[in-house]
Amino acid sequence: MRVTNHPVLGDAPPGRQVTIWLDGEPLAAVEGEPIAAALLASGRRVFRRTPRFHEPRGVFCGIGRCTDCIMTVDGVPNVRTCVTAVRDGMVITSNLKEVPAGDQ
Amino acid sequence: MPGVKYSGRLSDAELAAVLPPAERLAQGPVAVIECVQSIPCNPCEKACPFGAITVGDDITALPALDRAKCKGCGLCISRCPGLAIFVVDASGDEATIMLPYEYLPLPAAGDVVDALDRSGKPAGTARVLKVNTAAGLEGTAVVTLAVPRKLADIVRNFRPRGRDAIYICRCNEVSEAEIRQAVREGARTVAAVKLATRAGMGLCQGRTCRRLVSRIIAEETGQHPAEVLPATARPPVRTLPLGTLAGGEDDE
Repeated sequence: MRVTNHPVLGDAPPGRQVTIWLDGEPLAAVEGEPIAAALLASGRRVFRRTPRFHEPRGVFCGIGRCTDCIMTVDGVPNVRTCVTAVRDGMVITSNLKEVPAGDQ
Repeated sequence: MPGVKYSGRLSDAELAAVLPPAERLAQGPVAVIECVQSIPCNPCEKACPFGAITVGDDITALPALDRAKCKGCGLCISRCPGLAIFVVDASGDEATIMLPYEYLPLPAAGDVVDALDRSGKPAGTARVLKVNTAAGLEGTAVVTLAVPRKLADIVRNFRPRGRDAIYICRCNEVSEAEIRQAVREGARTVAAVKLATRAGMGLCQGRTCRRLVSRIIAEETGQHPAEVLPATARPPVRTLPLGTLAGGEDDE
């Protein structure tokens, strides 16, 4: 779900529809919205798994503070998806399949 | 509200304004809307199929509950983004409390759990009667607890028993029990706890956990949290690629 008409903020500005690549699959997104917003709108709630206990994590604070929502974006690891804007063609991967060793 | 000291939970004066009178509680289940801040929010108004909740045209107005119309169905509970709505039934020997619950794993009906008051402190024992996870609740489970009747106005949350999964440091997955253990073994400062447990060494650099660690040290050692030596704060204040510091790349 995307909020297009907010009771206080008003109407959302019209955004350009773009395609981002999530774990190899194309996903329609709006340019400029946070990556996390595009993922949530598509129904994705688990963004990664934790190194120590392999528990699912997604959006927690939503303001760039907690780093729960980090993913790998265009090859850059640990990007906070809640404060990173969507650009056309972005390649986003999670660490869902990875099992990082040593960093515990 | 004039005269209210903001503590993060409702004051006695604020509670008095939202708690139902004893006569209404004795008549059967009724919503308790513990919403006291004038924020722009009104999903509760649309959630009620009986028209018992009114916010009105001014979206920052507090919800007004018509307790005569309220059937205690609980449909409003999961619709409140602030998790501020409960349904209390104190008409029987035991009171039941329906509350929103957004933690995993969910309890099961029949579980015995620690009932918590509004400050998160244990208030007694509760039994889980029902866990509602219907799709329409959109991820906010509605849990029904049975508690002694005298706790009907006290209990507003619960903690499952036998689990050590309350994370203090979310980045490095360090639990409350691990931090308490480190303090008991001699770590008396936030930095010492950090060295012992890695709490605060993750990507967020302690933004989420350092105050909680201070509070735990204070509780364990009988100090005031302000007396606990805080962690050393070092720049940068937010995560940066190393290339930015080296001047090799433009930071966006």
